[in-house]
Amino acid sequence: MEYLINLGILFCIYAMLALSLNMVVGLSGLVSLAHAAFYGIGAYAVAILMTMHGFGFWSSMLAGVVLNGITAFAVGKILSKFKGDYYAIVSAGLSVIVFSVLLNFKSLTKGPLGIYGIGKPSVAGFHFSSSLSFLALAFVFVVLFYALFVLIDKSSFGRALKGLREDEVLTVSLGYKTTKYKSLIFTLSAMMAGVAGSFFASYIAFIDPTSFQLAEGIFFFTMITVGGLSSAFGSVVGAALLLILPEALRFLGLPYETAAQLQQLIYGALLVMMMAFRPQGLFGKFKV
Amino acid sequence: MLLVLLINILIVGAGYGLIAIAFAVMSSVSPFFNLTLGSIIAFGAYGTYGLTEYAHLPMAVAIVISIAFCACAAALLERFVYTPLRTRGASSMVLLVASLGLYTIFEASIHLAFGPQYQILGGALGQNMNLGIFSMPKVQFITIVADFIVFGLVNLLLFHTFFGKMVRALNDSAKLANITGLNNNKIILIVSMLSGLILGLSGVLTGFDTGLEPTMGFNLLFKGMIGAIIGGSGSLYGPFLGAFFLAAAENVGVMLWASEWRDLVAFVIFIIFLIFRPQGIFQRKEK
Repeated sequence: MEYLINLGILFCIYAMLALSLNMVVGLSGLVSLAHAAFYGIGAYAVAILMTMHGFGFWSSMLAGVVLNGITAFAVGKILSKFKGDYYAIVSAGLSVIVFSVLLNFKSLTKGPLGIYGIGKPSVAGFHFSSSLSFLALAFVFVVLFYALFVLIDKSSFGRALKGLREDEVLTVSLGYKTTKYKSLIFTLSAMMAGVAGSFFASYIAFIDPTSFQLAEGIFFFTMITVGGLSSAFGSVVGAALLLILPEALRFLGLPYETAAQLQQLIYGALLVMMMAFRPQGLFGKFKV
Repeated sequence: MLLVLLINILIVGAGYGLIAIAFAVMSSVSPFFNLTLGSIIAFGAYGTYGLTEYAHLPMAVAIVISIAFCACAAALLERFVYTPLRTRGASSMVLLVASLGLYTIFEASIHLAFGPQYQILGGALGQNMNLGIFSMPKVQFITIVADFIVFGLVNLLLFHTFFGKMVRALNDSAKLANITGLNNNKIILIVSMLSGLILGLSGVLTGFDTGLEPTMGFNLLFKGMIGAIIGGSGSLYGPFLGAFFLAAAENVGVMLWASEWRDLVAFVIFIIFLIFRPQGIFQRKEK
């Protein structure tokens, strides 16, 4: 039972990440590989503020989300100068930069040693220390994010995003300020990734920079590419699939290291198959 | 102090230069961010390691076989993955993601076959050699020489032979080249074998110099790619000198701060260049 709850919480965190990333990649057609960076900033904000400065979970999370918003706004300004594969490569570069800061700015992040002893959230005296209550709390946020995705998808804002995704020049000529829209959705998505990061840090209670490498960002990208671009349902399915697949490997009784690499192998194969046969993903509405 | 810095720039820049040249040549006929080029680097290094360590072949034979394997691998990937995808109208984004998937598969396979631990190719190449006022490992000297030779030969091939003319025609417009009777796929195959050779060589040299780990290809490819892009396309001087420029920036950064910030310096330079001078240092034409 504890195992299933653990899986459920991880699913919630991945689902938040997939939903937020799909707003940028799916709805707006901007292939960002920098999501792990914002996930990391959110996680580190909670870790640093809670363990070293005595903040509570929610205020630390808020600080992380605001910090992410500011960072993403600046980063989005840089990224908005690029298109297509250059956008992907530059965002990957930004992810490497943030990882490098997390790893080497030791006076702030403790570098490769990581930060441990991160606490759990509490609301009005109730402490979410049991796994089940934590799962419920995380699930609430998944539902909120899902609703936000659907809301944006159906709104005029979402239509403008999809317009710029399909034909940016045409959308500009219709009077939409596409740069503003791109910057806005990128910032929003980064803030949501910050929330996911906060939950991750609090749940795992120990974080180090390796959880926020470029490879992680690529993993999130794989989730939505498999599940389906531009689809809220696809994001959640992708998160679930890519979480359960490696868990299934666990039952083969392979050594940890072998299982981890086998898992990478399967992710890679999934990406190739998707690109060859169904670039929009299982439930997707948009092809990169 | 200055001499040490200059020599370091020369060594690092030559290492990046080989990859930058291979990347530039490859992307002139197959224009997308091909991440499996990074896998080819690792193939060169691990091929040599496997053939000497497990098959007990002499070092020279192992090196030749693995570099030949790299050339074939690059050609096979192009022939059976990227060309079919391109003929089906895949965007360069789809090609990038497909190559990302393949890269992941190859890295995991190397990891499974050889383990995650750091290894180094041993033998005479790792030993120091004396060059009068200073000494350096033989392999670093060879890397510098190899970079200059490869640059010279590829430059000769691209700009002073008929084959080079065909490659440049394809680079200008693949469609037009095809209409005028060039066999595009054949040219692309030959060029990918050439870039596979260079990448394999760079992998072997890296294996002797800094060692091998399953992730080695990715970092090296990124450095070569950055060198090629900040150098500029259009001539081979771009990637060749761009690699030294990147190495200079990195080494000055390392001298001023600490060696951990090497990657950060490289990527910051990359992004600055893409924003302010996307055509690179050595290209005058606006893109």
